[in-house]
Amino acid sequence: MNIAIIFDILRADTIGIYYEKAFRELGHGVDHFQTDEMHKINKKYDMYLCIDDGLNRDAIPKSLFPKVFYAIDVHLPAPERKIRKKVLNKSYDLVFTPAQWWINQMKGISPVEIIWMNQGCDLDIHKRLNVERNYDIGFVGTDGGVPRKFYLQEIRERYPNNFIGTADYKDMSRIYSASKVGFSLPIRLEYLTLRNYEIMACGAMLLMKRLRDDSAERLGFIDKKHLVIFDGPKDLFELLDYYLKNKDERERIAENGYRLAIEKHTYLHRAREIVDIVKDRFHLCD
Amino acid sequence: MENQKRIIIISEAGWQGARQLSIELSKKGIMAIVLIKGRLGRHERDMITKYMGIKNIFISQKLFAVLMFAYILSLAICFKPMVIFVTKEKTEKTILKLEKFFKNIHLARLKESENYFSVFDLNMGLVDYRSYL
Repeated sequence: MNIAIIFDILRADTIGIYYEKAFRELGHGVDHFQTDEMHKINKKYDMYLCIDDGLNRDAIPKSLFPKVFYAIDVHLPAPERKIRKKVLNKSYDLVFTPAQWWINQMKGISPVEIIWMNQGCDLDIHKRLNVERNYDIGFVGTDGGVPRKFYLQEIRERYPNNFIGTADYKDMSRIYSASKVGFSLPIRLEYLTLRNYEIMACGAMLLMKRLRDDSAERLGFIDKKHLVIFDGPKDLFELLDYYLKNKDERERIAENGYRLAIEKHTYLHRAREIVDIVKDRFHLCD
Repeated sequence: MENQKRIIIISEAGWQGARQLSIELSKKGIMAIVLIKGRLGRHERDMITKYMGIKNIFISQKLFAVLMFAYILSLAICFKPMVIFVTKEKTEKTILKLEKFFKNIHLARLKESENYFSVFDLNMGLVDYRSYL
C-alpha cells in the first residue's frame, strides 16, 4: 500500500514518526508531508492518513480518497473544537481516536465512522535496558496541572530517590529501566496514554491512577497482574510502600506488563490494524 | 514562628518551586502563605505533608485573580510589610500596579528550575531569596 502520512514534526518523539516508521517496517510505501504541504499531495496514494495533534489549521484537499484522520488531542478543549468541526464537515472519510468517551459523544452526529484506536509503544525507542534499578520511582514528563503536579511533588518529598522531570526521549528507556515503579496520572484520566506504554515497555512496574474509561481492561491490562491501579492518595502511598518492599511481586507485574506491551501493543500492531480497517472499509486490495 | 514581613507565595504555574520555597522558609522558622490557583479534593489536600508555618490556600481558578488581588490589597491597606513571590508574568504586572501605591509591597519572581527554584528581581536578575526576608 502507498501511504501519504501527514503530520507536523514539532518534536522528535511525536506519534506521527512512530506510525511512519511502523508503516515502513510493514513494507508499505510511505511519504511524509507537513500539514502545510497537504495541497501538494497528488492522488497516487492508497491512503491519506493525517495524524492530528489538534494544532494544524490546514484542510486536506477534498479530492483525495480515502482521507483518514487519527484524532489525538480530543481531551483538550481548543483542539477538540477544531477536530470536531473537521469531522462534522466531513473533511475525512474515516476517523480513529484513542478516546472512547469522544466516540460516544460523537455518536449520532458524526457523518463518518469513528473507530477506537489506542496508542502504543515503539520498541526501538521504548526498550528495557539491563541497568540497575536505581530509582524508586520514575516519571518522565512535565508536572502538568491540577492534580498531577501535587501528586508528583508529594512523591518527590516522600521518596527522594526518584527521577521525576523532563528528559530527552532517547533517555527515557534508561530512566524507566532504572525505576522500580513508573508513575502515571493522565491529566484528564481519559484513556491509556503513551506514557503507560513507555513505562511498561521499558520494564518498570506501572502504577497509574484509575482511568475514566475501560481502555486498560479492553486492551488486556489487568490490575495487579500487568500494572497496578490506585484510586486516591492514601491508596497510592500504601501501594508504593508495598511494592517498593516486595520486589518479587513488583518484578512479576513489571514482567507481565512488559510482555503484553511488546507482544500486542506496539505501533506495528496499531499500523497493521489501521491498514486492515482501511482496506476493509474502502475495499482496497494489496 | 514569627517574622515581621508577611511572605506570600502565589502559585499559579507549577507547584514544585512554590512548595520548595515554602519548605525552606519553614525550616528557617519563617511563615509563608501560599495562594494556589486551582481546587483540590479533600483527600488530595490532606495528602500534602504539613509543615509548621506553611498555610496553603487553594482558590478556584475562576475566582483566583479577584480573590488574590483582594487579599493583597487588604494587607496593603493595613500597611503590613509583605514580600510576594509570583510565578506568572501577568500576576506580576497586576501586583506592580499596587506596588506603585503601597510601598509595603516587595515583589519577586519565582521560577522552577532543575528540581529546585530560582528567584529573580523585577529586572529578571537572579537573586538570593533571603535578601527579601
